[in-house]
Amino acid sequence: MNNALEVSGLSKTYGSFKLEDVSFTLPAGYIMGFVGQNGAGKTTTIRLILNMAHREKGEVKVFGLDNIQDELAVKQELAVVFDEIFFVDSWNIPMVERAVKGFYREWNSARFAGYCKKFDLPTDKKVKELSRGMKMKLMLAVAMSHGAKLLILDEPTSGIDPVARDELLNILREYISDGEKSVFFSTHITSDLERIADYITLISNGKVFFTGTKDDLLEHFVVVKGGTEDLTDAMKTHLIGLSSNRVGFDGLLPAAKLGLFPLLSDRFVTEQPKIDEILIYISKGGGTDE
Amino acid sequence: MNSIWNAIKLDFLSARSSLLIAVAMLVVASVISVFVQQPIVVIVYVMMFSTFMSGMVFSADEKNNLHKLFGTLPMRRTDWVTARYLYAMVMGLCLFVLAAAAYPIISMIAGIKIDYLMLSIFIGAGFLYYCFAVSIIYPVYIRVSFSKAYMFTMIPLALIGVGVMIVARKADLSLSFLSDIMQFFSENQSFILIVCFIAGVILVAISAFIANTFYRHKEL
Repeated sequence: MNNALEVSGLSKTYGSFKLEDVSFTLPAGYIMGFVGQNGAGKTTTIRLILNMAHREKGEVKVFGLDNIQDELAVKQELAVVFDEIFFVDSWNIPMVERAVKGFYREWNSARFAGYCKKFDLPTDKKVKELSRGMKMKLMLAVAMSHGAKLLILDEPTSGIDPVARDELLNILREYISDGEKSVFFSTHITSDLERIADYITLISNGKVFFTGTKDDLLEHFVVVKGGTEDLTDAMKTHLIGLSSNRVGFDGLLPAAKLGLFPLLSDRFVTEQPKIDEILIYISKGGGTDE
Repeated sequence: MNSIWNAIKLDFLSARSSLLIAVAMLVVASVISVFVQQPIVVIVYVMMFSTFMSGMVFSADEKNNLHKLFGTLPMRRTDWVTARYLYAMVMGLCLFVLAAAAYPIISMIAGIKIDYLMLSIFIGAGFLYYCFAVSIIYPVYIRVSFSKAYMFTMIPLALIGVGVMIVARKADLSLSFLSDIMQFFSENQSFILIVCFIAGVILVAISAFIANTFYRHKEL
């Protein structure tokens, strides 16, 4: 299987924040959700992938090409949508095209016009006059008009309404439908990922907590709930994001460790977690699992 | 080469509004020149404001998050720096050529004899000052950012002031030295422009080299 993106051992320090040994692989033709709370290291990782920041350790390969050695070739192959627009606010859409098209060998003006029409982007309006959803669609139109095979999105849905978010997800689904293109989608709005992601990488405090398929993630953990009297010290060491009160406790447990507590298992309630629940539990910390 | 050309085009597009202001102010300066019957005013205007105007491209970068765009485009960092300096040179040359073209027209309208020596001196010195200013402020803007280093726009002028004071203290030496220079250039007027242009380009080239080192290590 060809890989669209391979990140291995990526490390970077900013003051007290440390991105440590981040590794994951996105196979070509799939969507990977890159999930973590604010400040977890998502944007830093993306900036390192784009060589906008300088890594201390590690390696990034895009379709087998090194992101630094082969930077120009890599950037022909990828497109990026950030959470805020990076076009001059006094430009209109034709000016946006004039500004960027010369950089790309495979720029297709007809395709760009097609996307603008499809996304109902008004060509006479200035960038500053567009709504947040429209700005995001404009960045997408630019990103998808030069034949990029890897689309990187950094929190594209934050601050846009549910209708625009739904449209975005449909666009992404259509984008990868040819089986050659891939999407790397950073977000903290996990409901978006439940709908479209094939792979998930969870990052917390600069470290990858989980990377794999979405189904693996959801099967990898269980939410355990029970009475306070059943909460043993052994269990406390394994539960992630444990919270307890007089009535009971709940926490996230790697499914593989359920077997460590056979005698108690009939007294627990176990549930399959949602991605945002996993995110909340890991943000609380604890547990001895990775 | 292609990406340098595209980056220059991008700079002109992003700083379009400040270019329009520069041209509008050139027209205003020309009108004032006619009104006060001093055609040199238009060149002094270009000398004073061209540096400020050429720095506005950095302001546009920051205001519009263009560092993110530069980070995603297939373009080497060296190409971006080269393009930014070429943008400054093209902009400066255009403004000084326009001012030089306006000078005889204003002189004719005002009914003043055209002084080509004065024109050469002011255009040459003005362009050299512009290059000197660009060579000081561009690396600062690239290293520190425009919004934090805006006040550095005045540094070139301050440096020249300090330089003049130092020269003035050595009056005996400098007066004879300066009179020799004036003598040479009054006999070889065409050299004024050539010398100033070459000196300006050398300053800018050195500055671009330094700025390139800064930008290569900068995080976007």
